[in-house]
Amino acid sequence: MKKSLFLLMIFSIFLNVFATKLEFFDGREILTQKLLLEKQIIYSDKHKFNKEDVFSIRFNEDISKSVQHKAPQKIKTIMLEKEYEWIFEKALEMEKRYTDASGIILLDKSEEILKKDGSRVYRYNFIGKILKDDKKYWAELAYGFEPGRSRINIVKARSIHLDKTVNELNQSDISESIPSNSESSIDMNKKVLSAVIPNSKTGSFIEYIVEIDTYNPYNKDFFFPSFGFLSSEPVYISEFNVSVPEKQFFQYVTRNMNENQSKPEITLENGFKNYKWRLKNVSPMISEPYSPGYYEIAPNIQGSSLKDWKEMLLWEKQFLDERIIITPEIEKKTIELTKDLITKEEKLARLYHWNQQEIRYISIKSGIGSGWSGHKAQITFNNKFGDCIDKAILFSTMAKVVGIYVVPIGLLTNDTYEGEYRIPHLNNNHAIVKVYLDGREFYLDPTSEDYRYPYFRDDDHGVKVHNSIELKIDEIPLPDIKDEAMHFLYYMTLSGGNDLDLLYTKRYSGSWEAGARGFWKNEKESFYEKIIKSDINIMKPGAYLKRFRFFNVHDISKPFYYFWEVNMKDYAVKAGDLLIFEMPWAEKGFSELSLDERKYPLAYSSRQWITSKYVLNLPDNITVKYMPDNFAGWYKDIVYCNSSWSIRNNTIIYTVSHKRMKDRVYTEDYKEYKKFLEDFVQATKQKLILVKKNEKGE
Amino acid sequence: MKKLLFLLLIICINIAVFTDVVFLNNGEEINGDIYKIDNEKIYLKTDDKVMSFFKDEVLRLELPKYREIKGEYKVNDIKDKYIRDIIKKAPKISDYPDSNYVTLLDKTEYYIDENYINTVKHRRIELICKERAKSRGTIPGNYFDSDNKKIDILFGRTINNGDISYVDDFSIKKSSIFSYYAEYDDLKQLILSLPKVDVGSIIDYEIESVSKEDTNVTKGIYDNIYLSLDEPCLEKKFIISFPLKMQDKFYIEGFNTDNLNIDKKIKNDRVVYTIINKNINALLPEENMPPFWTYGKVIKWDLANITFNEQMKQLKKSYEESEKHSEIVDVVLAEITAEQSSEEEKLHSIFKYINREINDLNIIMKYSKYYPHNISITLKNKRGNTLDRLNLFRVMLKKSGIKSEILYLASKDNFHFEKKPKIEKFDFPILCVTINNKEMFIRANSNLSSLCDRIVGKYYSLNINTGEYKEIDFDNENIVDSNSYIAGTLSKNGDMEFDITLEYFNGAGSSYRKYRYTKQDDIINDMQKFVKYYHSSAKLIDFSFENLDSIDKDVILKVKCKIEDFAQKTGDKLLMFRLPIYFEVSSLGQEERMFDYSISNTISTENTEFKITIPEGYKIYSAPSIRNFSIYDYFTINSEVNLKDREFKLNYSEINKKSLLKKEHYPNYKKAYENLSRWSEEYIVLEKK
Repeated sequence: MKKSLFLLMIFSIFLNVFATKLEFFDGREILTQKLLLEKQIIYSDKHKFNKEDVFSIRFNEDISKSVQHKAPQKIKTIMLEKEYEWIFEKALEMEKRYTDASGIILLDKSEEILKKDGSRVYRYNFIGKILKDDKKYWAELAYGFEPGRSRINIVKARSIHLDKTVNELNQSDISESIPSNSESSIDMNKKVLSAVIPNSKTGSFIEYIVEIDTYNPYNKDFFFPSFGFLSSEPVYISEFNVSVPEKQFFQYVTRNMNENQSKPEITLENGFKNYKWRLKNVSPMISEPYSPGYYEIAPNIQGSSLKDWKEMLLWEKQFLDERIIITPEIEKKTIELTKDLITKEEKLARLYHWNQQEIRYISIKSGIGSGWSGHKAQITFNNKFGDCIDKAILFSTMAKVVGIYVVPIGLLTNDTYEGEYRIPHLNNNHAIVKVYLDGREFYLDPTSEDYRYPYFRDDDHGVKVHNSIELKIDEIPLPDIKDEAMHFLYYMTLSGGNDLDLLYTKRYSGSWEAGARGFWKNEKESFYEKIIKSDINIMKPGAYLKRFRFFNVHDISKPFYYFWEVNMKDYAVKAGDLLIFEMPWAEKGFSELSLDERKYPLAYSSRQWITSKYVLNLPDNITVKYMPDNFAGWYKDIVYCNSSWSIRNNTIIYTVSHKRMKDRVYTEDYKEYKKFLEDFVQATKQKLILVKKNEKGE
Repeated sequence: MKKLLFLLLIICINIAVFTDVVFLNNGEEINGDIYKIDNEKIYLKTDDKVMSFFKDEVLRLELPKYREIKGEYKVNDIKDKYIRDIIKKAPKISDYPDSNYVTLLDKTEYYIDENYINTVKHRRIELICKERAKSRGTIPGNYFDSDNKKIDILFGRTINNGDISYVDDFSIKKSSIFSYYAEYDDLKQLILSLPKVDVGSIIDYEIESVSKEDTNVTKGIYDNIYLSLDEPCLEKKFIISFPLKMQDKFYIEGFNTDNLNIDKKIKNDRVVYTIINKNINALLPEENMPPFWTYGKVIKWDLANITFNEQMKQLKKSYEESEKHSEIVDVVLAEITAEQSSEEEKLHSIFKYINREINDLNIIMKYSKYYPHNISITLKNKRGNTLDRLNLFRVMLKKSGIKSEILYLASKDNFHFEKKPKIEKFDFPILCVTINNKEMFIRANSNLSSLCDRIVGKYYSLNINTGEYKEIDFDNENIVDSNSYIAGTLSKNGDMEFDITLEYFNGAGSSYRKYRYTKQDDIINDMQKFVKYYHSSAKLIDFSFENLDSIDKDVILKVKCKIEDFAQKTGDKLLMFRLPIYFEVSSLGQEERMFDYSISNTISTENTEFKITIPEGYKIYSAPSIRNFSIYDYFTINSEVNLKDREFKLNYSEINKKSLLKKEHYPNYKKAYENLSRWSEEYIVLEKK
């Protein structure tokens, strides 16, 4: 009897760890075990409410570890356990080696455990010593979680001092809040748990162990643990552990790790297979300009419970299939937009431009469905706003109406890092579309607002993509160089009195055009003159704007370009009887070449081609005293540069061109690449020297 | 009959708009109408079917409402004729070719009751004219202090071609601004996103905020009505209503306004002020706009429950309260000032502690409150906003026997401040410390601040201790903020080596202080970029910093760099180069101005000296002449050029005397500055002897 009562009690306690939470529009919240709805009335354990007063109902609300709002307690001081005393000596040893470190990380240990029921636990253990005040934030803990899916447990958090005293975090000092949002992104269902470890200061150690228990994952078959071993501070022990049920399939890949480092220690225990990787004495990461993202340069591991991409892609596909649905409204609008057009390509372009301009980019995430796979096309169509996947879905649906096969695809933009595709896992941060038209396959990105068909954002270039509809991994190639180009023309006439008339025009393609158009489109037309006058005043103080005109600023179906006509008095700089003539804005510069050497590759977003052509008509009384040397050539197949001068009948033609074909320059090429570009820069700095002819015309 | 009823049912289902959402554990989301929940299942009607889910499949249900005005789904349904007319008679976009949007109505109503509980309703109706204004459909901001206010959307809608679409709760979010800092978690914001916003749409929304039982120090209600706007506004309406007995506590005044039209009525023992401004044209801003108070049209009003003196009493009391239970401070003080006897030593130690151990959260006073938390909270969390950190500093000084007072400063944008001072009009706090009968002003507004940092500008100041407020001017053109020494040796090849010393004072070098905790390799990377300021081909040879760790001296930076082909060789006879001197003229593009011009430099003196050794066998063919530039009382540049032996020297001092240029002086200022810029473009040309 006693035993059964005891068991019943245990069972009840277990049952009561989760409850249903009702949230009301007026801010009230109640917990209940019972929940019924009938004829617009909701019944809880003890009360009833009108359905219209309730905002949300959350099942599986974890009440076992809810934040207790107790009165703040005094900070207790205890003594450090003997087994931790090694940290003092080790820290000292590392401080001597890394004299400019702001902090020393003694333990950076992550564990990811996949349980047999599909839930999983992430556990992180950190020990660090604060050497300078910029690392005091180590004592500030903040972790995000999703109510109903996960919970956070701060298992241990304390500061350790040189006199071996310890101050521990009180659980009552942990707080919960809803994180802030930006104007373009609203996350509806996340919370943040935060706390400050007491009495931390420069010279003290911080230790904490945090557990994130995802008790209700959206897909129990998906388990993708990952870890990077590099930090901004030196690390003594960096360790990554993965535990999976013995019979569970698990694979992993590593990057930037040698063979020994890549091989884990594998053990079997209590029905689990445990993998452990450990690196010791990891030097800190030094940031370099234009370097690839963390996961491309740091030693890191990516794991997966899936054998291949098919299951992952099938999962994504099932969401997308339910969302790419043509409705009568969508059909009607699509036909209305394209009825005057003949070819499919024209229709596609019209729909591309419409989606960019008519559907605002706003991201409202409620969970994995809307977060990962977007909303149904009709919802985005109704709202006239959506995020990247919403817009991709709507665009695909509209294209389907006119018989063009377009599929949404997921990718990791190239401004993060080169994605890992050797094993399947979740690694998208953006969605665009792939188009199949007239035997061609190409890509478009309806997220942007200013891209003329068929151009698309340069952070999409050169990356692999999830093509879930077709169950494969594709790759977006770098675009044709002419599709990422900017061309300037300066047509100039110098008067005998040293006044210069300039006609300046610019033409663009690709992201250059989109960027320039976006800038001018977002300015009021009445400000254009002021902006131009500011610019030309840099070209030459006192420059006078004669006239200007812009073309197709708002019509993204047509090329954007403009011209300015400027007059500049006393343009060439006098030095004695010399006239030093500087071609406007001719000097090039490459800020990415600031370092003498690099540890990491140079990462660009895409190809690039920029040319400037100068035509200078000289007056009869002025002639050339000195014309700079020409420069032209390739560095391997990476970049072509040209700075060339010619003269014909008192007209000087100067052309500067820079054509980069690759989006990566690797470290072995960097030095010579840098030298090559610096020689080119030097060539563009050379000035034209003119002199006035004497009365004899000499 | 049954068939008819059935048909009616079908029609009703089709007309109904389903907003409920079922979120499944597997991530799926289904929209529909949740009509039943029993012990096992949840039942949902969608467009074309009825579905059910077991409870353990479901993560949560959301039952958002449309924030709507019931019965108004088309423009002709709008009951309020005044609003209906505004919308129906909205202008054409073509009437405003330059505008991003036109505000058709901006109405704010304050209803204040006898207990100073105030209910504010703010309604805006806007016509979207340009694509770039579609973002007006997302309404951010709406910051509020959740301890003292409740805020909510009454309704939000978009009108397109006579049809009205409402916002639902999915597109509304209230969140913390500083979610990671529990002690500042009362600061929230409300964001909403209206549907179907397009060019030609009219957006219409109303937000209501209600103050709670007022426990703030600052009892009273106030606001500014801004009449200088970026876009045209057809009607700006302001209504304030309060009990008649409060009448003598009400104040209203216009600044830079003409013909202020304020209507006052008394009805049912309440006073109602109505201010209506119609057809407000858009302001056309220019570069370097002057401070708002010089041109901005604004009406300021105030209904104070307590006098300023009473407010000050409460504020002073809160400071006293903040010192209570501060025994832990004594422990810290004992540690950091052990064996120190002089006041200067103690000041330095305490400042260092505040600076290095108490994280500055970069939360300005306006976002937070005007009174501090208890210092034990700041000390416990080892972090605080500016006010909390400064207050801790003050208390620690006080316990060490050093006199200091907190001053709140307000910029002159507060308009005729002396007429109606108020705690909330102040921008940031500073500390006035008295040591050896000398006052020093300390801002301490970041973890990189120093005792040598000076405060610049003109302000109104409020002494928290005495309640005294007055104007205070920190500007002084004779203060030297930096000395730059650049010594260069030019070779016959045209290569240059620069030895650069930059001496900073008074906080001018503060941007370098972060190198105190930056890794050496990272600093080297930054210095390699730094030298490119002098020439894009410059290569770093060496560098050093002095005083990076100092709390009372500013930074000195010494850099050596080499530049190949610094001088252009023309033929074999000439070498020519320009010194790295730059004077920014982009903000001087216009010929004339409508507004005064804000000169962005601080009022100070900066000295620069170049000393270039020219190669043997060369002489100066041409060099920049001595020029002095000055314009009225705004700035002076005095240059000096010397050539002795092979050493070419060019010195100049830039003395900035004023920060605001009158628009009538602008053309001459422009000309003078452009001449200065052209002078800086001149070349030094060397000729082989």
